[in-house]
Amino acid sequence: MKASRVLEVATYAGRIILENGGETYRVEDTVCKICEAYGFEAQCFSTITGIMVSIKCKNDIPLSLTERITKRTTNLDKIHRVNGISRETNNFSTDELMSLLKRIDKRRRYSSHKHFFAHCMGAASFSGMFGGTPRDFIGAFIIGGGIFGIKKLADKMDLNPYLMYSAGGCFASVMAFSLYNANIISSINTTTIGSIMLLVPGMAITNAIRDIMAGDIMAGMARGAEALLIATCLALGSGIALSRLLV
Amino acid sequence: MIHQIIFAFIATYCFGILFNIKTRKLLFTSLAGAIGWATFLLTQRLGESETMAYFFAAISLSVFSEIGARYLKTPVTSILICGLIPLVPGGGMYYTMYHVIQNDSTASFTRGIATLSAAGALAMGIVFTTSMVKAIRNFERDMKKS
Repeated sequence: MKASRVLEVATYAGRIILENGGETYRVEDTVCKICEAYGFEAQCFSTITGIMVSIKCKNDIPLSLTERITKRTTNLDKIHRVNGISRETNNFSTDELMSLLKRIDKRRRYSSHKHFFAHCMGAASFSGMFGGTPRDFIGAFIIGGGIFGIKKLADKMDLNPYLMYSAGGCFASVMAFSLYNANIISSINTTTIGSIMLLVPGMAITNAIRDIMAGDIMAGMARGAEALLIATCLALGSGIALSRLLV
Repeated sequence: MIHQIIFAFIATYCFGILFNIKTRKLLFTSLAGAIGWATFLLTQRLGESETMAYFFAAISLSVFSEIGARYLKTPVTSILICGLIPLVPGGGMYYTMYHVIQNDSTASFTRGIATLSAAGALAMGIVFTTSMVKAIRNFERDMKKS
């Protein structure tokens, strides 16, 4: 078993988890578990922007690999699958494991139509959840579709994510205000809150807590700061728009 | 109240699609969202403060997520992350800003504190459950050894 190949496979598995929204302690666990399954002693250190792994070869020479992560999305299905095969590493050779991981990495998300509908229906249900009337439901349904458009556009333009959150918040309150004036919705507040729920940093909050709990304080703090920044951008975006409109 | 819980279920389901959760896990995560929101509403109706309601909601939600994750053999996060979304105080964030732009700094301050403590209560609820689960598992392992 070549040490460099094991290192490559293990880091690739860690990379998939980190890129798709896994906690950093899960990355470190998985990488170490895979290396140990092939008989190598491994140390892994990971933050939310990179992974560093080093293993000891048979002749006591250490070997290490660093991977920088630049893009992060949320795809919990991939985390579930990588987690599943990392438990059964013993059954595969390194090449088999690599091809399995590559296949997982290529798995497709839900189609764009489903995403669009999920945005519309999600915003609408949130406004209903916060006590909105059926008219608010319809208003939030429309705004949710618009937020999907903004996300797609920001993706295409490679826009800074924080600017995207501000734009989303701004769009939600401007649309809610115009729909209110057009007499379609009955409350600006419920509709806007329902729509901006699509953008709240739920994943960053959960992962921040879980990372800090697992003793990974640095990554947890970074994620907490990310969540706070997203929340501020979102509130600022919708606030600025409202202050122009209401006064 | 029932229709609010149903809406919480649908909203979490939609979020599950955005986060690419598949098969039975999607159903479980939606149930987790509905249970969290139901606990929140019930606790508030029983006269507890908003912060306590968030705390209890986070506990019931993460207990359900831990059980569901064991049952489906999947990481806890894949159920917990989406289930938590309805409880994230988006409304509090919005109202804090809303009062700021209306020059009502007292109301904005009150809202801001309530939002921060809601986030803190959610965190404490999850921390509490996770560490309890870990403690119970360690206890069981020790019992088996001896």
